[in-house]
Amino acid sequence: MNNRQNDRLAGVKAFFSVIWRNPMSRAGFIILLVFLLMAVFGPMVIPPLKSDYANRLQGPSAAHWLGTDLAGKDTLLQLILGSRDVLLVAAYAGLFAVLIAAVIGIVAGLNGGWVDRILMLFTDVVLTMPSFPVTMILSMIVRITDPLVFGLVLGLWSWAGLAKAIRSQVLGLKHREFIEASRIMGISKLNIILYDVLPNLVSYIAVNFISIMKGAITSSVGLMILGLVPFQGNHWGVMIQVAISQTGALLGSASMVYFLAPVICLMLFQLGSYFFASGLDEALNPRLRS
Amino acid sequence: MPTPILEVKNLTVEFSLHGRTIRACDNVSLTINRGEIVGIIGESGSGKTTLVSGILNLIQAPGKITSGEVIYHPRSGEPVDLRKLSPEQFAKHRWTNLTTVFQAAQNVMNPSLRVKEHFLETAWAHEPNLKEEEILSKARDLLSKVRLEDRVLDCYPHQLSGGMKQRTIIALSLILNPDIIFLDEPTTALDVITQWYILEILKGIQKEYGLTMVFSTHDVSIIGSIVDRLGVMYAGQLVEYGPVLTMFKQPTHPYTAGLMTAIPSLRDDVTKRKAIPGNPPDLAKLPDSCRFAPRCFAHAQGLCAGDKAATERLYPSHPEQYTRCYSWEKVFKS
Amino acid sequence: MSLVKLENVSVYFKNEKNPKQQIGALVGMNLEIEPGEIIAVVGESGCGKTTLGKVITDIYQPTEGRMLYKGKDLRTLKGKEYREYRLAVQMIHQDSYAALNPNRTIFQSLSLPLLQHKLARNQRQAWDQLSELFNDVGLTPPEQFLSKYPHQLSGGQRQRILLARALSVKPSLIVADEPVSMVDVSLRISLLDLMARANKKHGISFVYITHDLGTARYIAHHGRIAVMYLGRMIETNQIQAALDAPAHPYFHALISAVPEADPTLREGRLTQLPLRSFDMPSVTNAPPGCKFHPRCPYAEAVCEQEEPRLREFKGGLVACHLVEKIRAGALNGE
Repeated sequence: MNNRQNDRLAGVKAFFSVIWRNPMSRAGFIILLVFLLMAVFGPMVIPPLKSDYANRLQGPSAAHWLGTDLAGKDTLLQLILGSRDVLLVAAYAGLFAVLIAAVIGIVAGLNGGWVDRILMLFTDVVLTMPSFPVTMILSMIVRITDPLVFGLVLGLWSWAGLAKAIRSQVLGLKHREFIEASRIMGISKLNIILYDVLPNLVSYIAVNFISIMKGAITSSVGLMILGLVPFQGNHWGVMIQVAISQTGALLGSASMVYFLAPVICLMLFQLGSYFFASGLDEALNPRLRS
Repeated sequence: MPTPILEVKNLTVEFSLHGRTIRACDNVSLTINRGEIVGIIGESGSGKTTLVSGILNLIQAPGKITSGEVIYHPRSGEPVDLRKLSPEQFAKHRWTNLTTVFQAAQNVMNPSLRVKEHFLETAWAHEPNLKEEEILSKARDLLSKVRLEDRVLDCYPHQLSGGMKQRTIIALSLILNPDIIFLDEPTTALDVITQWYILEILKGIQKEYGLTMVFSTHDVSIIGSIVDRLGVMYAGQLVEYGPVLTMFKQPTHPYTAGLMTAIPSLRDDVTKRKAIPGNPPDLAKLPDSCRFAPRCFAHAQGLCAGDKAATERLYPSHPEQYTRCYSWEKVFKS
Repeated sequence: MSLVKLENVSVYFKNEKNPKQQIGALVGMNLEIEPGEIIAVVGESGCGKTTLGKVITDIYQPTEGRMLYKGKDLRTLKGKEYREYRLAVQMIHQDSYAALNPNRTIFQSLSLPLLQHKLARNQRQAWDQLSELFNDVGLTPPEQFLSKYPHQLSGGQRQRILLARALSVKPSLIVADEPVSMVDVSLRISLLDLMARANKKHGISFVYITHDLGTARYIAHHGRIAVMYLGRMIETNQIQAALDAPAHPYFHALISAVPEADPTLREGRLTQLPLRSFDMPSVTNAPPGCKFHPRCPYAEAVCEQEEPRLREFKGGLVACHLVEKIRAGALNGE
């Protein structure tokens, strides 16, 4: 009915107005939006990537805004194409991590007792494992060919901290009077999780989702620089890896731009995520909105 | 013969939030005489806590005292406008002349200090030359007045119950022989029997030391136990002020009258109780009329138009009693 | 047949500091609640009244004894029968802000039980049912309240919402745990009137838990009162009879301690409460024999050795060895 649709719309409008009001989160939002548009629409509208050996390793020019690479392919186009993979991998990683963390955290927090103890033992083991070396080993064993698998591998080691945090939030919520009131009203356990617990975790999860994404990007780039991932796509990490290993970019040649472009994009993305996340908590919390 | 100890004149405290300004305390004037016990009654949004904070210069951002005078008349010497003092000069008066016991004062104690250290630190902060034994002997004396044993001095706050902490804070506030003590909701969150003892203790201390006491509370039943004069606040304004007996038997403001009828007691006629209709005032959205008009029975019966301009001042009603209701004679003629 | 019956119910918790020791939050409680009756449960903090409320609503399970719903042991109810109990026995919490989900609108929170239990077939029906309920409890226009978040409403409004929520599942009994203590004093009676109306109109029983004897008398003036001390019920009777002639010395002291707003009655109040010490022993340190004996001015040897059981006295039940002697003494003037 009208009222509830109006509610939803008002909620969405309120969300964006808070993001916009805060200059930091506004900047973050814009940066992320640019990257998102770039990733979604970029590859559709740009001309196809062509090799052009005659013009390889060129600096920025009118024809090629960011110069060309080893094979004469335009750097900017690669950047745009690569953004899709970057975001996809990061998003999958975040998604898997959040899903696993939420299920484990909520089940452990709500049930308590031995269920809680076993789950937390498992979580602690994962937490104390050094994630990067393990991911390295994993990527040598598993053939990572597409963003989904890559995201899964990265997500597998990022959920533990969030699970513990979610569990302690749930522990705090469990004894709050409104949860007790729901129990007295006979609300089923599932509904309590969905409607009482989750809405109070959403802002927490969202903020952590962004930072897991950030971490996943860093890890993915790191893995690629080390050449551990035989990724076929145009990922920025691949560009950096190629730049360092095959064109001596760090030694100050003309392919500096080729190296710097993805690096700066990465930095911008990280910055954008951080800024955006800083405003997320306020935007998702109805008390701080009005 | 009453001599004034504190004169509050036109005190206004404003808060700015999200671009809106609200006056939590709006142009309040009242005089407190030496040695009397004054009660300030108010509910949510009344401004009573802001008034006390304003008098004691404890308002913090985003709040600001925007106008008014707070003239303190010491036992000897010239009256001084506390608002004109710098924070350092004011600090000299705090604790030595004016002290406070705030609601949940129990949380004000430093959990890592023993009670005796609280006494010593507080005393030395204002008078560094006092000898330790002097302070502690006075502390023991005060603790006995609040019916606590000497051993409390060696305790940490967490070892004391809520009632004991409250009594300790009261004793602590008296360590430097203040002139006037402000208590904000001193018995809320205390059990009935503990509350009874705290009030008896306060009465005893007041008599013995000739203190002036100012209570601010929402608990109307306390006024019967202890207060000499009563002030009633609503939506940031002082709406009535006078001796407690006539205020209770012959209120001249509809809000005061409403409050007295709305509180059930143990001996009254249950069928005669009536709540005040409506909701507490929203200081950000005050009506363009008398602030109490939306809930006023006289306004509802057409006895009073609720004109805003006429409520900008107080009118004398019964002897020593003042009311903001300009239609009081019509409304309360019986 | 009574609606809810507690047979020798005790709730013990483990003492965290001393795992061998048990803390008796509620001990040996026997209570029968009839359909349509209002019973006030009074006592100070730590007396077990909140624990009692949580046992009646099955949030705590008895460590000893059993609770019967409509004659059947609650623990034996399964499936549909338990569901009938679950909807029939509801609670109104003290803190109306904590009892509502801060991240959901009022409609979202209140429609969930209706939809889950199929009391409303769809959102539209839920909206209509809730609108009607809101009109009943004085929250008009309903749309204004249903679409808001808890923090956008005042305490009094939220408390009405809690009442509406409890009424929405058509209960037979409502446990109200200090429902008005966090509401403005001028509005308390209106909330109590709503509960009294629900009791009259729908025959809903109320268990009104409070430390405030004034409001207890107001709402239960035709009902019973149960006085709790350190987890035990020490006196119960028709409320007016109990207040006029308290039998247990603790209850007598409690009544004497209640502050009286009317200043003309100030002189008639006791200057000394009939108590040997102010502070209530903690539940972890319950004294032997009669739990009240260390503070009781009439205590004799038997009181220290044997815990008194509830027995009949002048129309009610009292747990005191010496009640005949004490009452006799009181009648001769104290």
